[in-house]
Amino acid sequence: MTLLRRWSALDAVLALLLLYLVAVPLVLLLVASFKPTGLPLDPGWSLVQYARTYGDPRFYKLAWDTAVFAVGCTLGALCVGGVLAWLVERTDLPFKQAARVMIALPMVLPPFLLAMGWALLASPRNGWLNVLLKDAFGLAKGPLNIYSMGGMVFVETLALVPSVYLILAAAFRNMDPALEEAAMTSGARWPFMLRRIFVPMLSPAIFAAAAYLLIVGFLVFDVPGTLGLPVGIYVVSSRIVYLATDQSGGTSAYGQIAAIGATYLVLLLTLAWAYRRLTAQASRFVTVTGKGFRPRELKLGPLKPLALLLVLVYFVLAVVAPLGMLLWTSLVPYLAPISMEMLPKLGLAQHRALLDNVRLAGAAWTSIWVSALSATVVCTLAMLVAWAVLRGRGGGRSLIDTLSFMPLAIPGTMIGMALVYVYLTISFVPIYGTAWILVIAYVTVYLSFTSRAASASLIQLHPELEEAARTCGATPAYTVRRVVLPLMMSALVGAWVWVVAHVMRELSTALLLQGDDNTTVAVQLWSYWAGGEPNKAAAVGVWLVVAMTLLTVLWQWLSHRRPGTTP
Amino acid sequence: MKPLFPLAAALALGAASFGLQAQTLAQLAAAAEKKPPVTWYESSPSDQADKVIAAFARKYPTVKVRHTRMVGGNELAVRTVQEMQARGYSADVVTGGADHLFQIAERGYLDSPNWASLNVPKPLTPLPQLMATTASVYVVAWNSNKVKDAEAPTTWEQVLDPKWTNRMGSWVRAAAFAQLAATQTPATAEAMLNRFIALKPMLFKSTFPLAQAISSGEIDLGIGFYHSTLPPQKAGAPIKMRPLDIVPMHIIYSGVSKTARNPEGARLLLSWLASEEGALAYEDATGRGNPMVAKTKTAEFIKGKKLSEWPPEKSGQLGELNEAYNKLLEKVGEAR
Repeated sequence: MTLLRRWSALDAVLALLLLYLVAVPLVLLLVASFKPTGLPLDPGWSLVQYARTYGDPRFYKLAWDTAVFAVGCTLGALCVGGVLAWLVERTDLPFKQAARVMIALPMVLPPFLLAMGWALLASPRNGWLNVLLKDAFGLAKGPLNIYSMGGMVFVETLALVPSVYLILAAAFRNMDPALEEAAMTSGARWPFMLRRIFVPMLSPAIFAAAAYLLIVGFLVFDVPGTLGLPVGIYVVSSRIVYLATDQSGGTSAYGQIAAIGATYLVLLLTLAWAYRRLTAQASRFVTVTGKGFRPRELKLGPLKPLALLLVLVYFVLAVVAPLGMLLWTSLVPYLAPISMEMLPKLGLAQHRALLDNVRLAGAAWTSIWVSALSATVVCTLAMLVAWAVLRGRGGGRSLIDTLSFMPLAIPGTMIGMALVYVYLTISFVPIYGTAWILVIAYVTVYLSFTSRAASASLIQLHPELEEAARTCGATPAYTVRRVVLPLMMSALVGAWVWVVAHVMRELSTALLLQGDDNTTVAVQLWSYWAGGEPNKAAAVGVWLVVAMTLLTVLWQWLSHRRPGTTP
Repeated sequence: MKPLFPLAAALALGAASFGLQAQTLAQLAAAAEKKPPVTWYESSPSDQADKVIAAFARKYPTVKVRHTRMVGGNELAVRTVQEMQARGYSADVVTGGADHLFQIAERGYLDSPNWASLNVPKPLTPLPQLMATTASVYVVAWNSNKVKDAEAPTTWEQVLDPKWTNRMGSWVRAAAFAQLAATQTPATAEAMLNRFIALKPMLFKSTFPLAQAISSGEIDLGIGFYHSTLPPQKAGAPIKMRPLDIVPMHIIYSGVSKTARNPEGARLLLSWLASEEGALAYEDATGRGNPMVAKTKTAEFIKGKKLSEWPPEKSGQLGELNEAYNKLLEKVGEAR
């Protein structure tokens, strides 16, 4: 009973904290959607924002194009990320450590730089690949066109694969091979095992990944903005950014943004409901029990080189090729395709200039500590949320789970706007315009992903492990520290790195909350890009990728040497 | 259309600022140095703003200025309104398009200094709340490796020639055509825009990447801004530009907040920006010059050309045209 009361107290604290983090921006979002001006503190109430949004016939074409884009990149990322996670975790793929780094690395590349790299590679008129293909086959025009729906889905898929990998790899790793062994003993073949064992067992992780990807696909701007907007392909995220920055009339159309955001909230709640129904009987998915096991590794045999090639192809498409173009761009004095005539103009001027750039150094420091602190706080919170929802018995479980999932539906722009109001109003918490407001924003924004990742990991741990510890006299804190945390560490560290990487490259919220001394690297990088200095932006991008690569390698190394965990 | 400012409000604002009218620049500087740094919301990259502030500091070393970059005018307006609503003050100086400052001024947040007493030429202050500090001037820019100089358009009629189909680029906003309507009538400008859409132009989030796309040869030519074409040109890229027969432009205005914590410093900064010295320093740092200050390169660039721009008091009409034309420009996707 003491234990139950303690976890109930945890429920209450968590519920209050999440209400503060999530409900405040959510209420402001809803209030804004019913204001004639879209500004929450302005007088009057109206349905005009909804009328404008749904009365516009273009909205339905937007919704369709958005669905095509979101579903396309979700399916693409699930297939590619799923296969890669399976290859790395459940087969005898050679060079696994290197493969893990190669698959995780693309998430450190800011998506708009990835899109920029691919625009330089596969733009219809002078993309490097198109030029090569035209020369090689005597074609009249380049066969590739990255400025298309297909191009957008392709590049976004490349960007999302690491997230899928991180979610599914942990699930693959924690699967008890007893079921496979039983099936194989009974003569089952791989297709049968895939259908009847792998997919059902992995369904929480797969649905968590799918729900996450789908919502991200609906809200992400970088790739559709870079590759779709130039040719008139709009998705809802383009529309949101357009309404915020390019809407005529002199002010951002937050009312319409809020109306669209409220719509997505309904979609999200439907997804959350479906997810909760699926995971209602958590015990169905338990694979880590009190019995020790080592995941079975499938022998690839002669397919080993092919599997390795698959990993390499992904790495080349997602990192080497676009990063190569970025490196090239950082060495030339202006944006130019790869050509012999540009060779004499190559130089390190942009890279040298970075060393003396005081603003960039300050931005780098801000990004480092903000990302590390945000990731640590949000991962801790996510673990507590997962624990309260899956292990707790209190009445607040449902509320906590729903609240932790909700931020995914609120555009970062709206969270930023809400925080501006909140911390301008609460003047006794003087964090407006400082980096601390960014930490709060990022904890809110990334809570959905980390809490899903933590839940997916905890679902697989049988409560008998904790019961055994308690039987031996362990306190709840000791049980969490010595039993639960080590088993979840791999997933939590993965989530931590994921958050760090995403905070390092996050732009829209950081721009909105920009004050006197909280400029981040992403804001500085964007400033160079938007200010007509793509070469300087590319140089920053290259060094950002180098730094994040080192972090990823360090993460792999730490995970590898930690007893009791496998990266 | 709504009038920009009700007469009574304008009179009240004028009376409220009377106390500072008689101050000279030296007196302003002396008063400003005892107060907090002048906060300035403006859209230039921080590196460029640093150079402007350094030039100001050479003239007034004791007056500190703190620049915060507000990307795009819409964010400037929203941020200012939010800050005023929540804590009663915002930046001391705000700089943006007429339609953005209109949003702030309409709520009574901008002061109406007596600019004449600070030696600011009258043409720079069409309304007491607004002072012209710079401008975005439309040009045609082309890749000199792909288009010969003689072939590059000199008139809008040549820009709309079907031979540029699939070779043209533009800003994602149809603002150039909305400004053209000021002198060409809205119906004519709309017809021109429809012909432009038929060229299937590539659209860019800002005119800076547009200029880079022209430099790289992804598109052959585009309708961009003078100041955003300069960076690749200075870097040696094969890009050239010229003003067309009619030059649409957006004057960028600045205003002083009514609740500025350093109102003297704010007025001093704007007076300096209106001077030849300040205007040249600003243009040198940002590439964006004030065409109303004779010695700027921008003024020289458009000398003798027919300009097309809606006056600030007609920002509402401009906004309506922008909205209608932007909807039309979205048809580029269908045209392709």
